[in-house]
Amino acid sequence: MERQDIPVRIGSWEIRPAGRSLILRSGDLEITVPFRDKADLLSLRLLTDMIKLLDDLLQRGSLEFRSHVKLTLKRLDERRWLLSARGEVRYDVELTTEEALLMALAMKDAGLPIWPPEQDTYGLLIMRLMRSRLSALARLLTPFAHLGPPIAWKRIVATVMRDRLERAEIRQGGVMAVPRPKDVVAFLRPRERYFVLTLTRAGGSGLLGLLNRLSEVLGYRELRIEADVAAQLLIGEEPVDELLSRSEAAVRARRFLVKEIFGIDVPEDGPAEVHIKNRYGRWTVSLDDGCLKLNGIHICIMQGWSRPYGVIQLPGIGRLELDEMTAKVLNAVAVALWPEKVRDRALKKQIEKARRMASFRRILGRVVRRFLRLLGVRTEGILTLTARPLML
Amino acid sequence: MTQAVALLERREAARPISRMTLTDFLTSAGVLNEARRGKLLVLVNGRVVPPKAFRSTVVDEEAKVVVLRPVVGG
Repeated sequence: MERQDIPVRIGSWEIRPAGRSLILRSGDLEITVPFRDKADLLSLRLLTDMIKLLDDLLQRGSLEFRSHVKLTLKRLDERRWLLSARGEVRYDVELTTEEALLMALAMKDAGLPIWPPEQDTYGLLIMRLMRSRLSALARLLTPFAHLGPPIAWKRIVATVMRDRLERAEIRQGGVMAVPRPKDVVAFLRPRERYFVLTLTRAGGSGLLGLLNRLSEVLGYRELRIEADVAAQLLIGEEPVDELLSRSEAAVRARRFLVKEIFGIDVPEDGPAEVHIKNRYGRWTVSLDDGCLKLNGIHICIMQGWSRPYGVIQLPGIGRLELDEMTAKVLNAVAVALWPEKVRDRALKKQIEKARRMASFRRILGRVVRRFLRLLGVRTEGILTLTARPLML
Repeated sequence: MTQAVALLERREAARPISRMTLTDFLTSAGVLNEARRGKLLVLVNGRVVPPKAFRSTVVDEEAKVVVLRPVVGG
């Protein structure tokens, strides 16, 4: 008998693995939970945790998750549920019972903490980590982690939302702020295979504020968002600015700022990097993540945590508070342009080390070349010699 | 909540500048004290401005002003 043919029974639920999915049945209800790997080797703990969550939701008729967004699932009547998101992302969608159950499993597997926390200190710790910059660590501590292959929660969220969501508002001001129409910086709408983020040209801070202000200059109003990223955004798994930080639009905006502020041209068709050459050597700054290199050696830099990370005022754009990553990119370019102005000891030390390393390499290269010249060997000859065995 | 609204309103009030000293600009952005203590990097039109030159530097709508909280080594 195949492993797949043996159903497991927990309470009123019958569970049957089917390839990369798990079919859960209870009375009239049947849901298919997709996994990221084969679902035939799941721990009993994972199954009981899943069933407990589903039974809790069905019995209580409501469930609340809190991360960067407050998400509430609430039963409207026997067949209809309401999923509401409040905070950075705001929407209300009506779901069937099956969809509500799937969404609850997806949100739980994404590591979103349930509110109020079940176990006092443990739950609160996860809550705190989730709302801080350590959400990745919080996800590792969640009950579903390490108990089997992860649920394909992004697929669940994207599929359900594609069917149900008309549009979600992306706002500035967070959960606690009084909602005002002018705080809406973008709308997220589903399309057939992806999602579209339409900028409203509002917003005075952060990456979306920057993209809004630059949308006219850079000539875009809509951004295409992959379904996976849209899923993360819709359940508030990461802050919106962080999710869009490596997007093409963000890179274009940073390319524009580097040109405007420092007068350095970064070609659109080349890599998303700023190259600077000075007496310290060759510097490279990535527009994606602000990664800084001197003479090929990585210089570890961190953006100071307190806000504002940066403020800019540009003609035709006005004043704007920068997001963390864009501030880091501009900072890295400033370090490369004026390394002698760096005050931080740890950073100075790294720069000096990378500089010395390059000088050492240069001197070594010069000595070797001179020595070879004395022996009557040309550098090209050496290259040919070293290349030959590889060619053979 | 009142504080959050006040903060948002202050941010809006501190919008376009016509012509002011860099000191006024930094005051309206709420970062003058930190900038004076040298904790922020202030650039005007691509040049670093030291704290002692804040008062004598005039910025208008055409000026490119950047205030950055410097990065630190990891």
